[in-house]
Amino acid sequence: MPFKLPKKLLEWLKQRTPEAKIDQLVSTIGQVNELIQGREDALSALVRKHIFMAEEDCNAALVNSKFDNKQNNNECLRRIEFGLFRLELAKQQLNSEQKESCLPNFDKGTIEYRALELSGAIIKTKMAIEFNNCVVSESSKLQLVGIVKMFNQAIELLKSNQQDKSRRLIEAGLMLLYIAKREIEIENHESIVDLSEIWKNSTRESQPIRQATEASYNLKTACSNCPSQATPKVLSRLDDATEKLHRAIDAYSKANDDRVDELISTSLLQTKLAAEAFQSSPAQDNISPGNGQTNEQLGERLSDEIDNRISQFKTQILVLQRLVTNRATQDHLANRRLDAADKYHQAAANMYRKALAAKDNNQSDSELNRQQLRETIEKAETLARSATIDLEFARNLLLKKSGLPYRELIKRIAEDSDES
Amino acid sequence: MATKQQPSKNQVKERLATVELALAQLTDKFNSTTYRQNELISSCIENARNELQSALDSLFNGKTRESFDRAGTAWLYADFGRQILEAEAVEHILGESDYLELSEISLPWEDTAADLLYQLEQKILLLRADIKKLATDESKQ
Repeated sequence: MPFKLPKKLLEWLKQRTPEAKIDQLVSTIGQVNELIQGREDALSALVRKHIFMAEEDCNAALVNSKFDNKQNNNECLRRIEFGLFRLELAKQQLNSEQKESCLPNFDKGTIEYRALELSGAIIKTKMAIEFNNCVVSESSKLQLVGIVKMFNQAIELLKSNQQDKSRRLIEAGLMLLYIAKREIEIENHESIVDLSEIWKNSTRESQPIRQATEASYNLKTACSNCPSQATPKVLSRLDDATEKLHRAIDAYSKANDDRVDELISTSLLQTKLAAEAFQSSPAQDNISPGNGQTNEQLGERLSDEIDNRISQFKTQILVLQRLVTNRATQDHLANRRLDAADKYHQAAANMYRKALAAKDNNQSDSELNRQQLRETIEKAETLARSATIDLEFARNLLLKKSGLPYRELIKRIAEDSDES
Repeated sequence: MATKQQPSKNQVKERLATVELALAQLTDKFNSTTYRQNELISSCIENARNELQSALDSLFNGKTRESFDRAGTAWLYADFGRQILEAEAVEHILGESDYLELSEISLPWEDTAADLLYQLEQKILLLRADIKKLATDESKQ
């Protein structure tokens, strides 16, 4: 008597054949199709897409089942598995519709969790700005756009398995967002949103940056509330402190921790000096000597004002350079011109300061001193003109397709100066 | 650094299902929004869709960890897009439809650069005017 397998085992083996599995796939397609009958919404469209893909898998499996070799057999089974998996997904999606929330759970310590905190904080800030109808300066807007860019870059880094770089970029984005929010609050003279929770899960290394940020922005807010006490010296030191802060955050994002310490120390020191100057500065609105100031005090104040001008010019040059880098086709050439413009502007301003000082000291009017003063003024003008030339050349490189060559530009600006 | 735990196939399936559903709902809402078509949301949807596709591909190639992570990344994009869409819906309904643009696509860098160049130019002109005034005062004496 020939050997006979038990009936149940035979049925089970039958179900494991490709044909049986294809039948299973076809019947599941039918079941899922029934579940969305008469529905026209986002979910049913998604499920329909899954059904369509499962049908494709089913057809491919059928074609492969016609050949009796291992490779086709494997492909047949693989496609059936895909198809069934897609339908499982579809069923799960239909089920999850009933649940109130079904979020992917990221653990608190993960980069993904922190990335969600960043995106949440960005939106919170955006909503607060829109709700309060805040005026947002171009530089703050650029800052916010830059933070969104950092968020995207951090995800790219995450995808390429560069975990540490990604985490640092997210932390840097959060710190910059906090700074941007403080700037906007100062610009609008009101508190708009509480972002203090962003520090809760921050790294230990970012704590000194937080401390320096709070110190400089608390003082900035005080200056904004009491502008008469915010002398150019105070503002110039504060500008320097915040500039160092930005550079420290940049260094942090690049894992250059030694540089962070150095920059944060300088930033804190500048803020401390600014705070001292702020405390000792009398609340005055006018700078003319008639208001009780001596000529010496006026001179000092004008000198501070020149420092402030130099600092503001430099900051704007940096903003512009950051903006055009990797965007303009001749960005490196333009950046060189912008560096030169900054250098000439600074030299011209310092020469102007020297001329002002010489004028104050030369009340005795000896012809020799007057000659020196005239020469100093002339040098200041030449340097300022050079700054104009380099700035114009940078403009040509960045924005004009057919700007004047450098030599022509110098000639034209010299002619303009003579006419004015 | 601690190595990540290998997710089960069921966990991957759950995450894929959730993210895909969220993305489909976002896409649907975004397409039916008439008051504004934010380019940033559009790019979030696009990125999430690409990531989901990679997640599925990874899964079909037997790489469950990669699939799980890719689905997570897709969620980050989709969730960001959803939040922007909801924030703008609030501004549309309750506010003055004065939206804060967060995408650089709508901010041509040339315009901002021209603006900054103009401000810098004004600063130099101011300095030159001061110098000129000093020169004039001096010549008068």
